[in-house]
Amino acid sequence: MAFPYQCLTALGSDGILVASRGGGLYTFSADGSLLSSWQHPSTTKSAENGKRGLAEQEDGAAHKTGESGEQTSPPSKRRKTESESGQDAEGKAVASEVTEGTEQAAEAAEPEQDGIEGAKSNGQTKKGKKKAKPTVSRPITQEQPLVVLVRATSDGKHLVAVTGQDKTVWVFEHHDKGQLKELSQRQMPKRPSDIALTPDNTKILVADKFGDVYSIPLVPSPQGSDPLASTPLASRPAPPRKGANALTVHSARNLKALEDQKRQRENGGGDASKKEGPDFEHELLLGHVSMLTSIALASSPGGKPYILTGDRDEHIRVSRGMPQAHVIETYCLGHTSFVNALCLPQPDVLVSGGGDDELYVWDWLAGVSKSKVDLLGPVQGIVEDARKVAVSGIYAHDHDVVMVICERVPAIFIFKLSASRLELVETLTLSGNPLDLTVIPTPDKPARLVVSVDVNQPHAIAKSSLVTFNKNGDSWVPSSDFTPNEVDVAGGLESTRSELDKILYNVENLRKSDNEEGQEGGDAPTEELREAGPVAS
Amino acid sequence: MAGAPNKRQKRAEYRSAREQHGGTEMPKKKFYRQRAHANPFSDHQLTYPRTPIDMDWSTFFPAFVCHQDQEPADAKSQDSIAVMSTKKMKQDVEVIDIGCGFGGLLVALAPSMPEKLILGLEIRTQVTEFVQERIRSLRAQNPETNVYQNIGCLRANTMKFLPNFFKKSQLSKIFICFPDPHFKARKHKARIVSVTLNSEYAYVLKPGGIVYTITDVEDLHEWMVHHLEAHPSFERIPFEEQEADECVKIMRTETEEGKKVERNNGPKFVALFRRLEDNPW
Repeated sequence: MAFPYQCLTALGSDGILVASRGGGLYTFSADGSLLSSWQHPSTTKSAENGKRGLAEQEDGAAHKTGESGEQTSPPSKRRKTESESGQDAEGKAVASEVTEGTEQAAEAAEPEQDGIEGAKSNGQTKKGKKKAKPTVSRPITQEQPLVVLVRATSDGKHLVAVTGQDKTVWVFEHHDKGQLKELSQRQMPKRPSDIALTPDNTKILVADKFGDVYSIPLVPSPQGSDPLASTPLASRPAPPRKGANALTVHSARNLKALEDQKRQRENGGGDASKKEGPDFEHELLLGHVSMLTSIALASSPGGKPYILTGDRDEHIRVSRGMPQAHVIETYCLGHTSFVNALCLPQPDVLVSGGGDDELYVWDWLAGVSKSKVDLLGPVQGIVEDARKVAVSGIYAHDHDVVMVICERVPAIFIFKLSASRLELVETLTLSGNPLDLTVIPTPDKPARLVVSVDVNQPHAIAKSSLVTFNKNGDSWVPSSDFTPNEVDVAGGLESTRSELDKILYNVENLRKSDNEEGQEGGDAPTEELREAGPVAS
Repeated sequence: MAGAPNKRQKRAEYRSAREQHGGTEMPKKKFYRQRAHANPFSDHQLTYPRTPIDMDWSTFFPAFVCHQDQEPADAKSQDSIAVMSTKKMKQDVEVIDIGCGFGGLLVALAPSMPEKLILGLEIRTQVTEFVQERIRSLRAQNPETNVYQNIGCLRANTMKFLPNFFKKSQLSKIFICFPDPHFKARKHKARIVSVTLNSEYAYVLKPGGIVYTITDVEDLHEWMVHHLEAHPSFERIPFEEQEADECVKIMRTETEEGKKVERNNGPKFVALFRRLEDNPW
């Protein structure tokens, strides 16, 4: 089963499209020809190991079907045996080729452990690094670093991509004609769930699954300036660790544990050397005690910047922009299920959606709900037995067009925004579930809407995975004048249906289950702390 | 789940007996104990209002409900049902005790601030129930005075849902007494004071409002001081002013944990922080 294109974005104003697919990025010109491509180091490596040419080479050997079909099962088996001796988390590690065995590289290979563990796991990672030889990873699985977010700067000079599994933010310089040059890779402490670029294209705001928002410079300053210096809010907790003492714990067991801790500290020097946070310039701006799903930047009529963040616990928070991101201006409250997408078609209008049956329209600066519009009805027009909605994306075009896609609903719903109200004006049906879409400005021509579609047919050819519409007056008509020549890039991008489902559809997982009374007090805090909710993307 | 069936049964019996007898008698703690740690990140089955306007406080503070005839006509919320079911209160909650436990501080604060509504928030169901029962008995025992009418307790995860209950700048005091220390570095995000959570406290506090913290764990004390001082919206209150505060004395002696520490001759670390005006924007 061919892995579909997942994330899309327009790059610059020349009609260039960037599409991600598995661990790769591909740029296409306005006429659909492939301009360049990039592969995540781990996939490149495995491709080499798999005794095959680099899949992304322009004239690459793209005889995908036969070979990759044979390889579908062995790699996963092999990975399993590797993991047997190590921790289960390490077993999942796919060594990334990154730089010469630096600590960072080791960390890049470390999946869910999520940065905040002590010295103990440092040792583990090192071990893991040696063990986790690059595996042959032909069939795409969710353990691989897949591109989950792609954003272009407004000037079209840079492209930012996020690979989910290794929590890494990649920045590329865009030379003319779609050529990408990898500038930096930075591994965030937690898996990013959404990113936003400041209007001046100097900073990337990264919202993560742990609820925090970090600001990192788009282009890191040349000499490694002290990463800790610029973190007013993050504030390095300097005080020496004292922990509990004999006066604070009383039970015999706790006292014994205290003794043990003391002994361990004396012997091993403890975790004093443990470093908190990444070693590149970063600033913690704000945080929710909830999984963040979306971030958007806005500005007030007076030109002051604001940060809008949506979380799994129904909140949309409106914080001031830098340097006062610690000030919460207001909340937009009203959602009854998770928030998953934020979009500002006009500077003062926020449209939000998620697990609710409706889309919400807000005066975000005042925190006031202006209107709601039903989405379940239109969804049922496509999927008859739909009972709930999981909005996966909201996109704006031309200030008054709002396009909405929902998980596992093969359609695009197009709304017209006027006077803070949304009205459904058109529904574009698709041959499969939409994963992402973007409107590409094409000079002298009507705007072009490109949608990445997961075509649910076992033998679907990759070709149909990008669908285009051209704007015609107020409506959108299917077009065939953009046919990316993807044969070249299709090599080896195979996966199974069940893997695809896990990778591509996890918005619905954000929904809270109804019966959780059982976990009063008896819950397993560590597990949930680690992931703060269901794993997504 | 833990809890032998006969334990659960005894608790149920105790509760139904209380219901029948009206409950002027104080509840017994042993029927309400619950493990001292709760995971703030999990989706407990919590009830919380969608917005502060939707919150119905009338059951918590029945003595402070506006009489029907003076109900104002302007309905702020879009949902008419919410407005109908939400009785108008004479005043808003102004003081909260986050993690109020068995309610010692609430009960002690009640007579010292009779004109303020004081709310205890507790994440453990059983413990919340105990405090609610305790307040009910106290009210029943003091029918002629209004002394315990101004305190209430509800179950909530404040780390997630504080803004669902309180409007911006609504509160004047927040008490954080003997919070779970979460010693492990990996669990520091579960601490009730953190750089990012402090922004939420600043949001619900009015400028000039005070965060009171007390703990017997020196490390946690330093952590809280460090993180609140580092937050641009807060400044630490000087020692003399802190010691002159009536609430500090109550906080030291009246919380259950405070008493326990006293018994063990443990140390108590107090720190107060004032909510500053936001810088112009």
